[in-house]
Amino acid sequence: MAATAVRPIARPRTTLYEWLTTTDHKKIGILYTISSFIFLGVGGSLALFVRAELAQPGLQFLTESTYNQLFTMHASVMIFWVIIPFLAAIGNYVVPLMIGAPDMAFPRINALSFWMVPFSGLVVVTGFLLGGAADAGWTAYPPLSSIKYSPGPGMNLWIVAVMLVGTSSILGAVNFMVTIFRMRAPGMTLFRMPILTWTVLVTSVLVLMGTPVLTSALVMLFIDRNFGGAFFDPALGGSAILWQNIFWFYSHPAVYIMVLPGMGVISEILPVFSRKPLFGYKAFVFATAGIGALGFSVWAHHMFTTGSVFLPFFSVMTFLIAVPTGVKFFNWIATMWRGQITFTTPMLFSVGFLSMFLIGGINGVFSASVPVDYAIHATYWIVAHIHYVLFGGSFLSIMAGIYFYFPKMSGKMLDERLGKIHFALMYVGLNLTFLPMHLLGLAGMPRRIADYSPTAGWNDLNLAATIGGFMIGASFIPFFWNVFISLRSGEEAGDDPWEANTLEWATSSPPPAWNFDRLPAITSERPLFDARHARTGAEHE
Amino acid sequence: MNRRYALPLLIAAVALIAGGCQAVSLRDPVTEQALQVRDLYNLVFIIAAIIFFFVEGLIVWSVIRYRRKPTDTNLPVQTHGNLILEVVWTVIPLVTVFLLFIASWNVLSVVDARDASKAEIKVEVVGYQWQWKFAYPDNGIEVFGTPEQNAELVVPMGKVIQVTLVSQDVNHGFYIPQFLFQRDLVPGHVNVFQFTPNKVGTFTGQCSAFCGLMHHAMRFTVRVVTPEEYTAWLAESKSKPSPSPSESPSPSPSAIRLTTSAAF
Repeated sequence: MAATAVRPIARPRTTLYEWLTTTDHKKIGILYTISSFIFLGVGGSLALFVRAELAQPGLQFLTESTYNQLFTMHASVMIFWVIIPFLAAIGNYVVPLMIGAPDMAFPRINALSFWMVPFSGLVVVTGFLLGGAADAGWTAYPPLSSIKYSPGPGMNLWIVAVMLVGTSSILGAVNFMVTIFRMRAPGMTLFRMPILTWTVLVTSVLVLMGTPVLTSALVMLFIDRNFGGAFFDPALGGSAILWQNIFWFYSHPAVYIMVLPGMGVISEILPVFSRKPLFGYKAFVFATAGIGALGFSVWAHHMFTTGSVFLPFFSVMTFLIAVPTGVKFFNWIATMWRGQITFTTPMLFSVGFLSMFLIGGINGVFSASVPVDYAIHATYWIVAHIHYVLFGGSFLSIMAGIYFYFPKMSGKMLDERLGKIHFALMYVGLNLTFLPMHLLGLAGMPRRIADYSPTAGWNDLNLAATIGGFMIGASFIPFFWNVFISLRSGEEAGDDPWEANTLEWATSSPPPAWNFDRLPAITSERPLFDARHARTGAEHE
Repeated sequence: MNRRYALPLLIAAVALIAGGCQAVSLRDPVTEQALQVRDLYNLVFIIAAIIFFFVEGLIVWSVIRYRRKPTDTNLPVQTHGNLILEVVWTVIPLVTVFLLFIASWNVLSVVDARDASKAEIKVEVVGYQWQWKFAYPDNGIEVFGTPEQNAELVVPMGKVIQVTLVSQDVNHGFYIPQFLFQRDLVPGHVNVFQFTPNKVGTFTGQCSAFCGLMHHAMRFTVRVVTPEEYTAWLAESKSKPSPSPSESPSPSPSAIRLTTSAAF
């Protein structure tokens, strides 16, 4: 093809095309955020259906079959398509900026990791249209999840979707690790990295070690279901317990995958609004690594009641993991101690995180005590525990992060009054929902039941939890209204509206595609603080 | 405050606290083993409550006391850490959880005691979607649950009862809230536990491990009777044929093959 042919033609590209094909970590971060909010709508609606059904004894709205699909899909969607991608959103947007990098190490892989999330999410919810979504619980214990007891297509779709979203996590983890190790700006040594970057790094290690193990379990289950395998079929020499071991080997660390970056967000916000450095930076880093390491030695505390676990080891390790978590709490409180605290919405959510995640930490210690676990395992106590960890912990930290970084992402400030209404509604709602669940568990209500006896004495507490659940749902109305009006006519944010400490605030809001025109000197973990107050890192080390 | 209201207020406060404590305790225990679990739970709860109020108090105090005032134009003291403090707040939790582990361990040796020679009554519990079968192999009695009539396990007070748990299909959980105890039924794996009922009465139980469609309806009861009543019940049950189950469990031989080996 000679002279007539190829000449690049500058085509005008639409904004939509730009967003669909972007490899910019900031745009991908925003795409992750949007996708997570959409799936939050899905997962949240599922939860409200569940709560509506449980408000009173008797089956009012749902059949058992639908109920089982709803609670299975609620947990799956919230874990794999809401919380983990939300944290990936914050990590994607913020980490390259925090370490002074122009982008992630592998921008196209980054785009691939993102697009696998909504795609796999569509795969998993398609089950509802194809005769029934997965309904064996998000833990999918065989034999219940085998082809014999779950013959529908939902279970297969669930397996494939979770494998896909896991692959997305693995790609993301590799990307984060390479970015953090190879792309830090001059002067940004490991121990000057912001804590959020540290927590994303440790989380990436957990993902890289845990997720392939989950994928292997899913492959085995898929073979059992579709190709006559018997990995988990005791009738043919397999082992049903094997699944629980492999599944929890990933899924317990997954709790830390869902909490550590949130702790990182909190550790960025508290110092900014207390006008003090994080107390015990290095101890915090070691505590994060400690939680990550111990996280792989506690999986079988989910299996104490199976009678096939070496109890002393898993009990003592589960107790131990409370210690680094406790260290972090004292670091956070010492950061606020004698500070000058301003209560912006991100700070409110952060303090909300502290007060709620504390409950999730303490009520988890009960399960480390094996005899107590025998009494409360698989009851609503455990439901309360996991929601204080994942809602009171992870989700409040995500909201704190979104309020904190929204001005950077959009260039506009969110309205503080609406933010505070959102916080108040959500905080009261979450306690009204999940506090009564402790009492239900103690009273003997097992989890995952579609109906309960009207004479069991559980009616009032269930009604309270349902009212709280709808309050949480309502709390999103002021939030979305806030986002809408602020994007239209919010106050201009400027580069650094919060007087923050870290590099992402050293560039414009939103930052240019290349992130930085110039970087301040990096001589401590708070380069912007040093620049603002004309200090160097040497003065406070 | 007016003295007239002091006493009623005091009573109300005591009632509130007592009611609160009632709500946050486990159910009243009805076995020897459960008494110890209850005490252990109370110990863990008290320690947890102390930690909770201490830490939450620190948070609330910081939030109130250290708000930024209009006069706060200078930076606060930039404290980066304090080694002694950090060692202290690492070691104290470490010691606390270790003590809790020891306390749990002592109770576990009672709760998980399985001395077959001490067993006075042996029952076999079989779980299947979505009913229970209770069998007394020594007496040739089998009790099947039906949707209309929950299966009832009858046991004498004060005797050591040994329960063998077998599942015929998927995982189930044998859970009686007032025993403060549950143990899973896992296909391909036999679980055994013992309990000693110390209170006469009927106690409800239900499946605690999600087992599919009618999981919520998989209920049963345990009726603890005096040894004399138990003997009478045995005689009565043996004389009449056991009611045929509405839905026979009819296990395939392989489904209840008893093996403890893993899949390796």
